[in-house]
This record gives sequence, structure tokens and C-alpha cells, in this order.
Amino acid sequence: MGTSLTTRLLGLSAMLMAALVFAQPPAASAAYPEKPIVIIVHAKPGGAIDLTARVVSKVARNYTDAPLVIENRYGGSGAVAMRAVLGRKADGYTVLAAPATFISTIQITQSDFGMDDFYFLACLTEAPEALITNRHSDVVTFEDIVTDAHAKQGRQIWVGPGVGSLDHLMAIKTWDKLGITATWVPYDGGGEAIAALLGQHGDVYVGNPEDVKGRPDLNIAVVSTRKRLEHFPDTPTLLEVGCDLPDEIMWRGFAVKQGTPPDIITYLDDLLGKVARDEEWLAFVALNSAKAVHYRHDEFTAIVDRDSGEAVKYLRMANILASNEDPKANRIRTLAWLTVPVIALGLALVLRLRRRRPTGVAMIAGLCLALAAMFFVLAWSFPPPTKGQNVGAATIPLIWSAVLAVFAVMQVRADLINHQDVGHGRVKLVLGLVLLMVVFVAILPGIGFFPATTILLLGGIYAMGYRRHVMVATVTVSMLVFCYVVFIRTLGLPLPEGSWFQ
Amino acid sequence: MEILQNLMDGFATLVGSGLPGIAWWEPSAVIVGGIIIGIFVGVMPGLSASTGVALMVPFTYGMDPLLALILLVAVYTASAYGGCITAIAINTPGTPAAVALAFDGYTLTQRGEPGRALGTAVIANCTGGILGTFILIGFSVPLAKAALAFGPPEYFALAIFGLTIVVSMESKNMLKGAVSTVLGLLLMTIGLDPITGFMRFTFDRPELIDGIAFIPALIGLFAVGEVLLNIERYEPVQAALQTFSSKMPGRKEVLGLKVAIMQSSILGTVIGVVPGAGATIAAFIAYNEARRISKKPEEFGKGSLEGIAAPAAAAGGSVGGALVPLLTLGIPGSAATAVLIGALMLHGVTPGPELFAGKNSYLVYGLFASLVLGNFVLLVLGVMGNRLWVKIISAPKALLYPVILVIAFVGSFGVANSLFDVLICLVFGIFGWILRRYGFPTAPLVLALILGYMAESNFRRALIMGDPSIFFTRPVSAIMLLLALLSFSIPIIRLKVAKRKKD
Repeated sequence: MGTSLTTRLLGLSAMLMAALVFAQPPAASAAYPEKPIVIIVHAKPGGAIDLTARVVSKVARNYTDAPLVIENRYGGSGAVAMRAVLGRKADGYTVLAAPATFISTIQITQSDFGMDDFYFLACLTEAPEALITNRHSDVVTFEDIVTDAHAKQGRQIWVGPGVGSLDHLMAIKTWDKLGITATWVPYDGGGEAIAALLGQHGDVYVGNPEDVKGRPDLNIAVVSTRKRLEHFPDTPTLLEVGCDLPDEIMWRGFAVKQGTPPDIITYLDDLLGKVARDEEWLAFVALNSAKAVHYRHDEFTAIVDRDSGEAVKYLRMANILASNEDPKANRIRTLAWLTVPVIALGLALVLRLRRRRPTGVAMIAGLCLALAAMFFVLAWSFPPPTKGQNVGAATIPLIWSAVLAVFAVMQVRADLINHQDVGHGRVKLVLGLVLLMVVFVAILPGIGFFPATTILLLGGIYAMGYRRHVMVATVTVSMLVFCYVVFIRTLGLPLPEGSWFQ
Repeated sequence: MEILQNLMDGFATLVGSGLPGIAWWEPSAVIVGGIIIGIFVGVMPGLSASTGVALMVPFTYGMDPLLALILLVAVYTASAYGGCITAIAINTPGTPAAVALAFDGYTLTQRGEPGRALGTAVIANCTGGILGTFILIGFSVPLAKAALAFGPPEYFALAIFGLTIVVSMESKNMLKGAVSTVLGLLLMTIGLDPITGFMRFTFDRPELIDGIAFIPALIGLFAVGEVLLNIERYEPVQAALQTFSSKMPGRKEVLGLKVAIMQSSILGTVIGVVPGAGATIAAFIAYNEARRISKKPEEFGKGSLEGIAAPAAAAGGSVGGALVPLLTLGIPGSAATAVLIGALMLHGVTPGPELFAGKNSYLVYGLFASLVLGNFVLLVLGVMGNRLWVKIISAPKALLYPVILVIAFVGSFGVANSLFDVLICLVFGIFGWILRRYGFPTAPLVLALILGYMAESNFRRALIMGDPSIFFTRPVSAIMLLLALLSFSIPIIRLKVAKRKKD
């Protein structure tokens, strides 16, 4: 059986090796760029900005020898991606795909960096904002929206993706200018929000005009541009209906870290300029987002600055920024850390009085109790619900931590009454392996993926008492080749190369 | 009848006369290739269906839209099954929906009969996939209407219903199951609050802003936890003696599953229409319902073939379900279909109701035909693959376990290219080992991480829309909450009654 597996693995690695030889990238030229340029994208593969970046990468190959590769670093609504760019060298090999939403992200997550830490290269697309309604509901036209909003006195429901998003800001601005009040119900993305509008769980959806494409039930009530749109000549603009807002647009562009050498910036500016005029690029933009544009550094930076100022103003108006800046919270946070030792001591005391040694079950339940207590206290530092609502950010954590505490106490009690210990196996071997894994995770960024993996594989196999050295070597080498071909070459995972050697 | 005619045209497009510019063999080759890639995607922890589909998108740039569509859908179809394989073989669900498969599937593997479990799963999954396609063809419009009627209160009720099923499934020790579930629910609240944008329990770590990524947590709890648990019980001599059989289930056994498979396929398709956790909830409800109607409910959890067939069929059916909103409304029914929409737009095709009538209608019927064909291909390849999987798990444990660990860590890293996720995987792995060692089930924890978000965000949305009575005045929401109450309380009552009888 073992031999057969070996043959298979060897066969597989031979095939993969062959694939590797044929998959080599073209040789790069000596000057910049001499290696692939990484575009960091904050969305998952398949998202709008990801597709934009992928098409840019494809089109750019006509104009440069260095491949542009996409690296998806999602998390924190873009905070993780921005941090990733700032964490690397300003050498032009890391480019950030930057959408307008990053402005809100920086504000909401109170990042220790700002938009001015980036040098904005070029803005390539823009899409106007639009208020969209359901044709089958009572609220269809812009006049309907206003009349209905006055009638419902703040209970009119506006839906859209996320909180503090560009669409949310658009909603707040419109309410402000029109003097109406309404309620924002955030969804986890445009698709879910459109479904809510179609199902009449909301009255107005804030998005882009393109969202109505292929959805005959939807109607654009108004668009945010100052001139009527070419594709929707019958749709009024906000200006026409008496709401004087500047062009509200969702822009997408590219940026690098501040401090990137000027000659590299010139190169990238030139490259993006060529992409912006490419037929294939223009065709792609025409199909998807609204408009292909090419705003270079100065113009782009002016847009970013203008939008940043507006965002802060309206995020405060919506009470989103205030909630993250509460000074009282710090004291509660300190208190929360104190709950853990208190609970541990209390539990130890109870067991002592009952003359019981702490069992595994009791310790797990105790851990849950401590966690529940800590979260319960921390949740008190959360901002109270906004006016007119009963539940806020703290409600659900308070409920779950209270329920967990009750269950955990019940579990401790059950364990005291019906106390059972589990049989012990080779715990030392497990702890050895745990240690090996901890070492693996600790040295992974420094030593690099392949050395760390070799250590984990060899250490694990030998620790378990396996001694057929040829087989061990075969499996280890095949595994490394497999990881290289599949994860690095094919899937393009940026596995750590090892910072200690650079 | 018109539908059948269109379907036949679809088949003709795929295998016969074809379209200009596409050779007759190309669609079939694309389906086979897509299925193989999909199985691989499903087997690899960390590669979800949506990531798999997204990674294939660049390869479709130069293709005809039809070929691109059937390639991506084949990957999607097969990855639903791929997730089942690892759940059965090494107790590591490749997708959240496959968590329900580990209960009985892995038990059979431990008994030395992985072939029977894998065979049942692939047959049920493909039957579910084909039935789901027919439901998609015949009932997509009413199903989509029903899906739209689902607002925040209904989604909340569905999530709660799913959660109570998970807890009641741990009937051996409900208290430990409950602790595990609520622990998951509490950990789920880490990250940006979905409604106000306030950062909860993030301890100033930017990686925690989006909360604990549940895929690395799932990989840790299952893959790493399972390896550690097995190593604790590892005896080199005894391990060498254990053999695994790749024997398939017999014809009679399979025929005996037809009710469970039919019912679960329908449940999978219908509940799979629900965006987000649809497929996962469907698998659990299907498992629970199969147990309820089974002649041998006591075998569930101990290697019941029905317990394998039900979630596998539901997972297969959910693919058809997730395509319902895509085709009828142009709205994604799952993360993978969201990517599909993006890919279609790249080809200049706007998904939605207008697809059926316009010049692109050949795409819809070609897609239907490719779903049916794809499931047959998956059945053949799946059965053939059984021997390979059994071979792999028959490898010496000392070699297998470290390899699983490496893949678990790489998979966790690959979810968001983040080293922090590797750490999450490790922490949850150690945690999973300790929990399981003392009899705390880990499946409820993972499910709570997924369903907890759905429950909270929709609970909050519903309360923004109206006062608390909204949950009880809307009929669908009220019925589901009642069902949830029943599914939670009946096992407790039954236990109490049994206890009283004993005394």
C-alpha cells in the first residue's frame, strides 16, 4: 500500500514539475520593473474592485514586461489591505487598488494612518450614485420618496450596503439637504439590499444606476450627477429636484505608499495612462461600472481631499464617529481584564471547599465563565442605542454572555455532582506536537514558508516514531513541490518568503 | 413541455450540433475539467466554493460565455461534493454545509468502511444536484417570489431554527452542546457591529475588525483538533493493523435511502435559495428531518447511511437553489453565485429575468443541461475517486497527520492571505482538542459562528424596521420560531420523561 502511494506521489510530483517548467513567467528587464508588481485588493476575488484590478492587470501586460499580480488582502473593510501596503517598502512593487469607501474605513476604524499616507496615481473609473425604488411599491418617483418620508416621520426605510459606506453617506447627505428624516438599514452588500428592496422590506435603495440593469422591477428615482446620464435620459438629477449636492461619485483608482521614488511614479503614471486609453479596458468599463475616466495625481488627490472632509462631517452627523470615541470606555476595559483572575480565584475556592481537584470539564466551563464575564463588562462600554431604538451594539453580546455564564455555572455544578475524568492517552506526544506547531507559526514569517514547513513535517513524522527515512524524504519533498506548484504558482498565494534573509 | 424542449435544445448545444466557434467536444471537456477542479477545491480546507470559482474567472476571459458559465458552474457543483469527502475521510468538513456529514460519515470511516460512506455521499449528492436542477427549471419563479418575502424577521427566525437544531442534535449531552453553541455565538460578536459600525472586542487588532474568520476557525477545530485527538490515542502497532475498505454500498442499501434522498434534495434546493447560510442550514434541517422520518432513528450519529445521504443530498440540491435568485432576480443566492454574477458581467451578460427571453437565452438552457450532465460526470468521477481517498487515509498516520497539518495551515492562510488566520487556526486547533477531549462537541461552535451573525444582523435590522412584535405578527417568522422552540424543547422533555421512567 505504501509503495503504491509513493508511486502515485512521485508520478504526481513529476507531472507538477513539468507544469512548473512550462509555467515560468517571461524574463524581466533590468531596470524598474524587474519583478512582478503586486496590486493589493481589499475585496474578495470576484468583487467589483477585484475584477477591475484584474482587467487592469491583463491590459497592462500589453505595455509592460513585469506582470501585475493581484493579492487579495481582505478584512476590516480595507484596513488590512491599506496596512499591508504601508507595511511594505515604497519601491513601487506594491500598488493599492483604492475605492472611495476607504475614506470611511479610515474614519470608522480610527486607523493610525490616513489617506495622505498614500500617493494617488490615477483614478480610472467613476460611477454616479442613485436612489432606486421598486416599481410595484407605493414609493416610485422622487416626489413619492419625499411625500412618504414626511408621512412616515423617520420610519421610511432606506437600504444599502454597510454602515458608513459611500451609499450610507449619500443617504445622510440627501436627508440633510432635503430636510427629511429616514432610517438606514445596512445590509451585507448591494445584492442583499436589492433583494430587500424587491421584497419591499425597504422603500429606497442607494446604489449605482447600473444596479437596475437586468432588473425590470427597479426604477431609478434620481441620480446624483449634475447633468442627466446618457443611458438614463429620463431620470432627473438631484440638482433638478432642488437638492444641491456636488457630483456624488464612487471612484476607483490606484495608489502607492508615499515616498516612492519619482521615476517609478512616472513609470506607473504612464502605464496607467496607457491602460486608461486601451480599447479592451474601455470595453470592460462600459459593460460594468459607469464611466471610464483618467484623473491623474493632482486632480485625483483633490477629489480624495474633498470627499474626506465631507465624510467626516456626515459620519459625525450620523453619530457613527462619536460612538467610537468614548473616553469612559477605557476604565471599563481595565475593569474587564480584572474579571478573569477574580473568576479563576472564585472557582478555585469553590473546588477547594468541596475538596475537589479541578477537572478538565470544570476548567473549560470556568474559562467560558471568565470569557462571558469579561465580554459582559466590556459590553457596558459600548455606545447606547441611537434615539428611538431599544437595541444597540451591546445588546446581543450582553445576552449571549449572560446565557453563556448561566450554562457554564450549570456545567460546573453538573461536574461537581457527576464527576468523571477522561482516560489519558499520549498527552506528552500531543503537547510536543502543539509546541512544534507553535514554533512553526512563530518562525513562519521570519524563516519563510518552505523551511518552516520542512521543520513541521520532519518534526511531526519523526516525533510519531516513523523511521523509514526514504519514505519520509519522499513525502516531505513531494509536499513541498505540491505546495509550490499548487499554492504559489497556480493559486498565487503570497506565502511568507522569510524576512530574516532579506 | 416548452421547458423540456428548451432543455433538450440545451443538451444539443452542449454535446451535438453546437454553436459557431465551439467544437463539439469542448463543452464536455470543460465540464469534466471543471468537475475535477471543483472536487479539488472542495477537498482543500480553506478553498471555498466561492474562492474556487473566483480563481477560475481569469481563465474564462477568452472563452465563449456559455463555456465560461458551464466551467464555473461545474467547479461550484463539484466543490459542494468535495467538502463532503474530507468530512467523511478525516472528519474535516471542507465546507460548512458538510459539517453535518461528519457525524455519521466519519463514524463509518473509523469503523473501516469509508467506501460505503463516500459512495452513499456521492450518490446522494448527485441525485440532489439533478433534482435541484429540475426544481430550478420548473419552480424558479415561485421560489424566487418566496425568497423575496423573506425579510429580516424571517432570516432571524431561520437562523434561530438552525441553531436549535444544532443544539438538539447533541442529544447525548445537551448542556455541553449548549455551552459550545453559546460560546460560538459570543465569539461571533467580535468585530465591527453590523448595524452601527462600532468596533466590539477587537482589542485594537486590525485583523479582528471583521471578526474571527470562521473558515480558519473551522479548519482549526476540525482538522487540527482531530489530528491532535487522534495522536493522543495513537498506538503505532494498532494503527498499522487498521484497514479501510473502499467497498461501495450495495444496491439494496442505496434503494432504501430513496425517501431520505428525495426529501433532503427538495429541502436543500428550497432552503438553498436563502442567501448566505442557506446551504448550511439546509444540510442540518435535512439531517434532522431524515432522522425524524427514519425507521431507525437510533442509528443516527452511529454510522447511519441515511444520516450521510440526507446532508449530502441537501448540499447537492442547494446548488440549484442558489441559482434561483441569480437567474430570476439577478441577485446572488450564495457567495459562489455572487462571483458567478461578476464573471457573467465580464462577458457582457447581465444575469436576471431578461436572460430567459433575450438573445442570451441559450445560456440559461445550456446551463440547465450542463448542471444535469455535470452531476452525472461528478457521480462517475466521485465513484472512481473513492479508491484514491481510501488509499490516502490508509497511508501511515505518522505521515498523514503532519501533511494534514501543513495543508490546514496553508488553507487558513489562503482564506485572506493572512498570517493572523494561521494563528487563529492554531489557537482553535488546540482549543478544539481540549474541548473534544472533555466531551464538548465542536460542530455547534462552528455553526454558531456562521449562524450567529445571520441571527444578530437580522434581529437588529428587524427591530430598526418595527417593534419586537414584528417577529410574531409575520406568519413565516412566527411559525419558524415556534418550530425552533419545539425542536429545542422536545429533546429536553423526552430526556426528562425517560429519566423519570428510569427512577
